[in-house]
Amino acid sequence: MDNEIIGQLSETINNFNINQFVSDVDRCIQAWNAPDSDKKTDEKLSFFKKLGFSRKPRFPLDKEKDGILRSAQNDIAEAIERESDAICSRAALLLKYLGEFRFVRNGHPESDEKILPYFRKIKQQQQTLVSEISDETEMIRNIIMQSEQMRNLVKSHSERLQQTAFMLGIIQERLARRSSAMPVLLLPSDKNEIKNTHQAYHDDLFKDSCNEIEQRKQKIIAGVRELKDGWNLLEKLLKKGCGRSMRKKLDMLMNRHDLRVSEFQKQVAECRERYGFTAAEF
Amino acid sequence: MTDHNRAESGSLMNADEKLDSIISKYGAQSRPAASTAYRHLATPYSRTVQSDSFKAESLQKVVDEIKVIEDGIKAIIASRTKKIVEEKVPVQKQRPAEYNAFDKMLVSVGLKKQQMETYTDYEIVRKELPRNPDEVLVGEFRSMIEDYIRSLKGLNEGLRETVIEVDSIVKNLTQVSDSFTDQIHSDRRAYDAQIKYSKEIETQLREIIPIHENMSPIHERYAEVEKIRDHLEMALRESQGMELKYKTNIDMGVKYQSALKSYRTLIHDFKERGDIHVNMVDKFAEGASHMKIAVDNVSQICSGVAKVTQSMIMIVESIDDGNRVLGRYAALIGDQISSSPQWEMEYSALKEAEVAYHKNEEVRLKQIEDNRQEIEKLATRGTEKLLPPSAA
Repeated sequence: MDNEIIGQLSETINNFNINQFVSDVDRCIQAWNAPDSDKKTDEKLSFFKKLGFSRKPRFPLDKEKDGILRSAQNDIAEAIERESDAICSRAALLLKYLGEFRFVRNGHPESDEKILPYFRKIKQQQQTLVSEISDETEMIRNIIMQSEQMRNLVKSHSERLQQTAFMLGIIQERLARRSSAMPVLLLPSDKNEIKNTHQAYHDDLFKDSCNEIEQRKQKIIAGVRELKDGWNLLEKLLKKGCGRSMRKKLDMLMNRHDLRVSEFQKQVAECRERYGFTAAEF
Repeated sequence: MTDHNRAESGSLMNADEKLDSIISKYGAQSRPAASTAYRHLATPYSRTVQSDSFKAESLQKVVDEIKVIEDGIKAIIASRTKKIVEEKVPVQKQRPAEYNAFDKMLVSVGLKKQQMETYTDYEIVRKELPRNPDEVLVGEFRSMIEDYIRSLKGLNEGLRETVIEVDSIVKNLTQVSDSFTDQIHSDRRAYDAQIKYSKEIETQLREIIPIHENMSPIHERYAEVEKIRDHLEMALRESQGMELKYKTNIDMGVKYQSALKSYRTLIHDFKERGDIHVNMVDKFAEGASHMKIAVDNVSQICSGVAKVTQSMIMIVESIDDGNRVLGRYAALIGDQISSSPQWEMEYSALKEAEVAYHKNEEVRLKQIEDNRQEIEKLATRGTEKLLPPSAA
C-alpha cells in the first residue's frame, strides 16, 4: 500500500473542516431573524407627527447606521460564498484522490478476498459522502444567495413605501377632519398595513428557507463525521487487517452507506417523476 | 277743469278727488284773483300727480336673506380662526443693583458683594382669543381657503411624487419576476438535459458492471475495467447530484416568484390607493377654489343688491318728494286763486321747494347712476368668474 497516498488522503480528510462554513451560516440566519430597526423607525415617525409635519418630509433613515448593517450582512454573504467554494474545491480534490486510490501493494493489484470488497465499499462510501457534502454545501449557498437577493430587494423598497404610507396617513387624517365635506373617504386606513405584510412575507418565506438550510446543515455535519469515521476504519483495516470487531463496525458503516444510497436513488427517481418529463408549465 | 280731467283718464280718479278736497279746503278761505301766469301750469301737473305706493318689502326680504348668508359665512370664519392680541404684562425681574464708582471697585476686588434688586419689567405676551363674527370680513374667507388649498396641494404634490416612486417599485418587481421566470425555464431545460445524460451513463454502467463482476482480478485488463466502472459510477453520482441541485433551484425559484407576485400585488394596490387619494385631494382643492369664488360672488351680490335697494329707495323718495311738490301746486290751482300776500308766500315757498327738489333730484340721479355703473361692473366681473359652485 502506498503510504504516501494514504498519508495524503489521511491529511486531507482529517483536515476537512466545515466549522467556519457552519458558523457563517448560523450567523446569517441569526441576522435574518433579528428584528429590524423597526422600533427606531416607529419612534421617528411619531416624532415627525408631533411636529405636525405639513411639508413633504424627506424620510430620514439613519442612513449611516443602516449602511453599516447592510455591509455587515454583505460580509456574511460573501464569507459564505467563499467558504462554500473552498469546501467544494476541497471536496473535488478529495474525490480525485479517492478516485486514484487503488488497492495496490508495491505496484501490484492486491487480491485479498476479505479486504477487497470492504475496500471498495468504503471507498464508495467515502466518495458518496464527499459528493453529498459538496452538493449540500452548494445548495445551502444557493438558498442563502437567493434569499439575500430577495431581502435586499424588499429592503430597498421599504424606505419609499414607508414614506408613502406616512404621507397617505397624513392626508387621510386631514381629509377625515373635514369629513363633512368629503363623505367618500371610507378607504381602509391601516398605517401599519405595509409593515405587517412585510413581516408576513418575511416570516413565511424565510422560515421555510431557514428550515431547509438547517436540515442540510445537519446533513453536512453528520456527513463529515461519518467521513472521518469511515476513513479511520479503512486506515486500520489496511494496516492491521480484518478483525472481528473491525468487521462489526465495518458492517454497520456499510449498512448506513447502503441506506443512504437507496435514499438518494429514491429521491432522484421522485424528482424525475415530478419534474423531469412533465410538460413545461411555466 | 276737474270735469275735463275726469273724462280723460278714469284711473286718475283718486287724484282728482284728492284735488277736489284740497281745492275746496282752500276755496273756503279767501280766494285770491287768478293770474293767467299760473293758470297754464295747472294742466301738466294735475295730470301726473299720481303714484302707487311702492312695495319695497319684497326687496327687503332678499336683502335680509343675503345678510343671513353673509352672517353664516362670517360665523364659520370666526369659529375657525383666532385673533392674536398682544398684551403688556408686568413681570418681576432681577438685576444687579447700581453702585457708585467706589462701591463698584470694591465689588470688582471682591470686598463687597453684588446685591440684586427686583424691578418690574413689562413683557409683551401674545394671547390667542376667539373671535366675534362681527369682527370678520367676508373677504377673509378667500385668504383662509387659499391657505388651506395651498397647504393641501403642497402635501398632495409630495404624495404624488412618492406614489410615482411606488409605481417604479411595482415595475421593478415585475422585471424581477420576469427574470425569475426566465431562470426557472433555463433551469428546467438544464434539468432535462442532465437527466438525459444520467440515463446515458446508467446504460453504460449497466453494460460494464456485469463485465467487471465476472472478471477475475488478475486479468490484465481488470484494472482498466475497474477504473472505467469507478469513473462511470462517479460520473453518475455527480450527474444525479446535479439533477437534485437543479430541482432544488427550480423549487426555490417557484416559491420565491409566487411570494414576489403576491408582494407585488400588495404594492400595486397600495399605489392605487395613493392614486385615489391624490385625485381626491385634487378634486377637493378644485371644489374649495370653487367655493372661494362662490363666496366672492355672494359678497358681490350682497353689495350689488344693497346698492339696488338704495337706488330704489332714493327713487321712491324722489317720487314722494315730487308728489309733495306737485300736490302743493295743485292746491293752488283754480280760478279763485288770486295774488295775495299769503299766496305770494305760498308760491315763493313752493318755488323754493321745487328748487330743492330739483337739486336733490340731481344728487339722487347722480347717485343712482353711480350705483348702476357699479352694479354693471360687478355683474360683468361676476359673469367672467362665475362658475357653478360644485358640490365638493
